[in-house]
Amino acid sequence: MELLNLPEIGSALFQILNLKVLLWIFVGSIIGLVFGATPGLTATTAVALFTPITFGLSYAESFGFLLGIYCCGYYSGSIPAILIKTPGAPGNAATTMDGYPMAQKGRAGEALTHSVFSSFIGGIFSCFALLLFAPMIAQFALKFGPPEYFAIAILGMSAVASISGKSILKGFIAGMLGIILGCVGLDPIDGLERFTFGTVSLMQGIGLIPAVVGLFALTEVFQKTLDYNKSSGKIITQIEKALPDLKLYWSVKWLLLKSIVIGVIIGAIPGTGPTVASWISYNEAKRTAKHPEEFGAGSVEGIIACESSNNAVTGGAIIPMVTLGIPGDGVTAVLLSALLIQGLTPGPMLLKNNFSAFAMIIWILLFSNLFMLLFGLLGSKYFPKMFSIPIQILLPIILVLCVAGSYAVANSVVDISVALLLGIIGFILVQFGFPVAPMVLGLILGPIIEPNFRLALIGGNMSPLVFASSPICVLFLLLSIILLALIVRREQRAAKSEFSQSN
Amino acid sequence: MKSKDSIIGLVFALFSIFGITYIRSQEYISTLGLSRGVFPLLALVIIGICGLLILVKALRKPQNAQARMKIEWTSPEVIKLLLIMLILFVYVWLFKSIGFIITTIVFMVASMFLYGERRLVYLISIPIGTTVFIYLLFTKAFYIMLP
Repeated sequence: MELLNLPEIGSALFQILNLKVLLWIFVGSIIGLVFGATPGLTATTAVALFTPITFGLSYAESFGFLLGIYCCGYYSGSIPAILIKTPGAPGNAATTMDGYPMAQKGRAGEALTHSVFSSFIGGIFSCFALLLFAPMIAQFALKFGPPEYFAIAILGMSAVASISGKSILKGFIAGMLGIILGCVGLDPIDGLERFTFGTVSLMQGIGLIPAVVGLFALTEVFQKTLDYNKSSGKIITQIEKALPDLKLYWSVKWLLLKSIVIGVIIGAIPGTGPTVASWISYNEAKRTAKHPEEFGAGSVEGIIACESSNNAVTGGAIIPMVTLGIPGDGVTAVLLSALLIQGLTPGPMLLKNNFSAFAMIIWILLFSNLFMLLFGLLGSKYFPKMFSIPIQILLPIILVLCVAGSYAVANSVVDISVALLLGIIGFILVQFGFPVAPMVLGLILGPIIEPNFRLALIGGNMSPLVFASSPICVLFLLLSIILLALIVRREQRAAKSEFSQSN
Repeated sequence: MKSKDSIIGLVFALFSIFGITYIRSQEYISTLGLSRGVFPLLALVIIGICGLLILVKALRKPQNAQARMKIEWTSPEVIKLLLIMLILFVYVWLFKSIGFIITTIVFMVASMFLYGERRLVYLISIPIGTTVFIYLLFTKAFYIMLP
């Protein structure tokens, strides 16, 4: 397999330069902008809701639509972070630290411009990283077997600790609940039923899309219903015109590059995503800044670090998705099903047999980032209006979309029931301080961990030494332990410092 | 009054015991190799251990535990939430038998009213407009049939 198949890349561009495909990218970008900017809805929810309805579209149209949602959705969470001090998604939480203070000082337009331009640069660079590294990893991954896939998925599960919020124990419980949900249906090795309680409809297992809709969207709607009368932050409505200052970006080029590299690498680790990437980039930017005291008070570098890293995750997360069939984050987990719907099997053979499909993803991402930049620069003065939609109209519409989207997966009311049940369970768990993201992570990675674990042992005559026989497997398992230990130590330090501050 | 953490820790410890008992009763575990019950059993054991640790932490240091368990069942927000969940259940239950359009319009009117919308023009136009838009979008643009 050639690493860069230029004729296929050229041919893919011609397929994308089609009015219908560009229109779908445009529409997807708008939907991503709206969902991402509505706190709690997120790009993951939007992709989950709309994936089933792309069944009837061609590959280019379908991915144009979904990747448009992906790119714009990841960026647009910074809009409420800057204007109402509430991030649209956890990945934009770090932007609140400096975005809102900047807006309070009358520099909202400048903050929004930095946000979209940094996201654009991060997104574009991550496309090139995807183009460069995916073919290399795909070639290498041809040698992977069950032990390696098991180890990579375990690395992803160890990231549960980083998205567990204040309590790692609660995060682990949520992750294990997700794994148990993933066990519902037929056992992947023996084909025998598990936890179906005699119900035929559960033989297919718990669908990822209804689970994401329930755990993310419905949980959020229920929470918003409970918090209905609690006032949200003051909306900053004055947006001054601001264009990107290229000299400034050149002066912070190393910060940009570092943040983008962090975003791509974190995105490529299964199950992590923009939350981890943006916080690591922000903390790293603060640590190495000439004026760290400015962070938290309206530092431009803070916004640049978060947002470039946040959108750099998009290309990074697609790397393991296409080369290994393992999602890099929540959105790519749903995009895996979109690939399967289009008759493409993700994994190392995808690039060998369908390089043009992979190349189309790159071109679509590039165009999505361009649309994102256009919307962000031209539409910023209209952004405050997005928060003026009355909640008594917005929430019922979201509920209807959740029901219709869940139904569209398999034309089955069972999927809607699953979404509803998981929405209630997710809401109850949130009341007790549990995060729901690890539950989705467990649901995604459990069906990868279990069969590969069992197949590896079967292949190694039930000897656990089979995991030590592969250097890649050992490396990933060690990385998992190190990552977990670092996160636990960081959380313990944070808890001690919080305790000593309160005393 | 118990803390939320002590309650939930106990709940998950009991859930783990219940789950393990269920797995054994359904004979998911066999003596030959790694059977279908081993992986969920492992997950349940981890849940049980984490649940017990949460319970112990909550009992030893109650000042650190999640706030006291106190739900005001009669507060307007809780009643609104329960009613929304109820009408959502009814909507899903009747969705396929009655059809998307009628159930969605009725659901939207009811939920908008519960959320506090009182303007008659909005209570009529938005449910009808949204329902028709979504129906046409799904059936004509995406070729997804709705009941």
